[in-house]
Amino acid sequence: MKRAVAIAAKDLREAAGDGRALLAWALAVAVLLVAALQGWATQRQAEAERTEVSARVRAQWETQGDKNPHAGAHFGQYVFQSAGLAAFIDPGVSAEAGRAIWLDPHRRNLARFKPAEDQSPAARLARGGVDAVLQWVLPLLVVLLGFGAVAGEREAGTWRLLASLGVTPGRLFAGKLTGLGLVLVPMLAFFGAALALAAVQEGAGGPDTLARIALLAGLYTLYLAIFGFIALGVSARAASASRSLALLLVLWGLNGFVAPRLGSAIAEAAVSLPSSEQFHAAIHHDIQHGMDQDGDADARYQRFLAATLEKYRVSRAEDLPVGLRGLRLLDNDGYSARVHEKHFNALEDRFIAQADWQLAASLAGPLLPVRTLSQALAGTDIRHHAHFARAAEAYRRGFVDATSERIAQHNAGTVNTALADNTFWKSLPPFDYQPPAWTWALAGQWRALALLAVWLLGAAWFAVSGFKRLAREV
Amino acid sequence: MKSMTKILKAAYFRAEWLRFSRDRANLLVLALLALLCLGAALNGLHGVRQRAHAQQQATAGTLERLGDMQRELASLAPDRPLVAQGIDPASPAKLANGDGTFRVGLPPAPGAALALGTAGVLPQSIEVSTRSRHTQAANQNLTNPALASSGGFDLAFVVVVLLPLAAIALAWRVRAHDQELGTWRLIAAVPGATRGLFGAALLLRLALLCGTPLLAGALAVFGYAGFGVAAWLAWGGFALLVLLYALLWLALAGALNLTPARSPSLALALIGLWLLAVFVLPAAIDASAPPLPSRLATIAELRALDAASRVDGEALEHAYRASHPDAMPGELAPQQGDHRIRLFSTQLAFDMKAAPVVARVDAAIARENQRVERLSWLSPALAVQLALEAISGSDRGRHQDFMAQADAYQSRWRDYFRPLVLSLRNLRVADYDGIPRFSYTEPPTTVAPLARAATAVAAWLLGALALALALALRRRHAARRNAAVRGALLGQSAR
Repeated sequence: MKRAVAIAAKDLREAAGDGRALLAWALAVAVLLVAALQGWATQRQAEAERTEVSARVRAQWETQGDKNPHAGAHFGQYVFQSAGLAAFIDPGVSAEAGRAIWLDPHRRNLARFKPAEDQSPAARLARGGVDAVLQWVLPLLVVLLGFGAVAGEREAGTWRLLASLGVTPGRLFAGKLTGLGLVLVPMLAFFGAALALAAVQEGAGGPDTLARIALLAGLYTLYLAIFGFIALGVSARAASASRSLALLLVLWGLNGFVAPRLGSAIAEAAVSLPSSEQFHAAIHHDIQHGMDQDGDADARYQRFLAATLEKYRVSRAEDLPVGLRGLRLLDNDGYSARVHEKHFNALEDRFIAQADWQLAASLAGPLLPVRTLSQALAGTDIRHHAHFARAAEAYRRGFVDATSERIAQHNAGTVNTALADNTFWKSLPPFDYQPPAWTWALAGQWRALALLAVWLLGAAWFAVSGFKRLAREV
Repeated sequence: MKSMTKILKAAYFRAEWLRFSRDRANLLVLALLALLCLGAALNGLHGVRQRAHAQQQATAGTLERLGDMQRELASLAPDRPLVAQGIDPASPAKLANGDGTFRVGLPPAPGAALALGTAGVLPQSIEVSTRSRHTQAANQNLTNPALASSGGFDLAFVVVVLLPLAAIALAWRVRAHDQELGTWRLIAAVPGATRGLFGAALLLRLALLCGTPLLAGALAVFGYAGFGVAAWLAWGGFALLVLLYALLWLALAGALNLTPARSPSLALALIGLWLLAVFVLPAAIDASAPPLPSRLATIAELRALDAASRVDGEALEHAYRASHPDAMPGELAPQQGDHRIRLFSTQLAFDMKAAPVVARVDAAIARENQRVERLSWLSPALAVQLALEAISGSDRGRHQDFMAQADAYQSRWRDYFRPLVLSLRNLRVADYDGIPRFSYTEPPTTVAPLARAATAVAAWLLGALALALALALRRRHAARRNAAVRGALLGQSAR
């Protein structure tokens, strides 16, 4: 153990003495610090803005004045997805998923106002943030510190010297791994600060946020461990430090840049999405012409009218004791919601199937499963967005139906003159979204977890077997 | 001229090819690049064909629906009441309001398969109706956020991000390796061989590096657009960019190889330059941007206008009637207060008020894009990316042009239906023939993005050349000094 520590200390001294390694380490720490501070400030600003705008649009809803309840429903409401504290560590798909959903009668809308739509080409090319530092920069630091770990000793002839002093490959491995552990220091310090912030900040999410951040720290420790194992394994096998560096840089590039995009291409080839035009046209078609054997809109209306007249035991719509318009809206919107549910569920299934297919490119590196789990733990993956969208849809149906019921209850026959006032608008509860717990976030991620385990075990085996070969070189 | 002839000697190329092809790592890099280029080209081609198909379907669907409704109207009695549910071909209000889901689209340009650009994030077709497009949730792309956040796998990505890495992998120790092995002195012993072999090594790598991207580009462009002039222009622009960009990275590797640094240091320096050009500088340009107007605050602003638009709509309706007394002769007497008239006027009033608010945000985004374009010479990667997006027609400028044309078309649509709705008369069969049709007109071609990319590459190339020159002079100076010292020492020992 002492020898392993001595080797690690020697590596650290060498790293400190080597200007390149020190510079790389200092740059990585600086970049992480800047990204963390900027990410935190951006997230706080976004949350403050969301809270302020949510209050403004709610006030607009509550003070829309006297009008027909259905006209009020058409004024609609906007709901905004809140980002938890962990979201500043990994914003996930937030830029592409849309920040707001508009809720109005007759239709379910997709989330709108995607920050990605407003991004400049520079932002599209170079994505910054804490997640980018954790996923790209720190592994690069591991590569830069680890490429010469064994190949350098071999080239300098110090490995034979160490072996003659009784250092076994196992001890060398432990020493080198401990030396590489230096990379973890700034990362764990960052997660420690995030945990402290989550613990002291009011309304940060409580134990669930703490659990999410702690798990993210564990996840990225494993990710860097995988890179550490790979770096040591390659260094132990490479004929020279140069070759080791070249190979590790290729692996780093494949992992960080090729795998995600290649995964997207695979996913798109495996599971196709309808175009926006096809998606909305299909919904329109089903509402107009009916699903299965439901009949077209006019036939459904005639059926509804006949059933309503029979229910209230009258022969003419004018004689109904309730407002026909309200009942018709309830019937129409109920059918429309069924159509939308069918198409949106199918779309959501395709999104998730594509995300699963994207993991096929994990062969090129461990980033994809790590990123999938990271986004899930940060609460910013597509499953979390879908969870929010479903809650928003349930709320939409609730308040739209309430306006239709009001029309039915306050009118009679074909008359539709009763108005709603601000008291009524205020009586409809605001949207109160409860995000799912971290256990839910991980529940559907067995593929990513399994791939991460495979990479971890495979990389560890690769490193250990590489060091075992060293014994034959003595 | 004489030295150029030496560099281009076939023997040098043969010798360099032998050395190059014996290193399996070089062949592996080329094979990987070829695979990625082919994959990106096929992926781009598949995506653009799907997009074009969806556009054609939407356009054809719009025309088909209008045709069906016109035929249905012709078969109906002219004085029958309007139907309560669904689309009625005789109702101008329902038709104008978009019940038929009419769409206009931005057709993919000939080079569209080269770069996804903004096509992945910005709507490629717009629903046309009397409703404001700013409230239409259907006016957005249907993309999987999980895949969109990874970026598109297109040739622009392979060229801008991966081609430099391949250039670095092939040329990072093009001379340093020989120096480390001690074979460089052997080469230097042959007169002119150092320059000749070094030049041949870089030119050979340039040819091998550009080969597959150019072929893949040809597949992407001609596979979609055929062999028309526009397609050749797109491919020509792409080829020029690839050549310039590959030349830049090989020149940088070559310049750094003139230093006495060892190969690991060279690899780190080249990777550092790559990070600087591809990520750090674009990220810095983005980070230095002034903040855009808040989209969320805009929502609240638009809703306030929405709340007021009912009153504004009534005023608009009165003003229109006053200024167009003969515009609504209709069979039915104009009935102010009818919900169809009210809805139409309210929508119009809202859109008139909303347009400047949205235009303010759009103008801020346009300014930011112009700023990024102006600064793109700092990063050749960014400049090449912008030029590739322009060639592929997936740049923001073309999209803004489309939106302006779509807005103008929507105004024509509204102007056409306004008197029909306000008069409350039913549509006649002939009215369908007068409905405005949309056709996207391409903006004039500009070479500005190509020029910007060439400037960025030239600026970096000049930097590389200056570095190479400085290092060569330093080396020559050191050699002269060493010779002088050697001469002095020899003189001393002789005395």
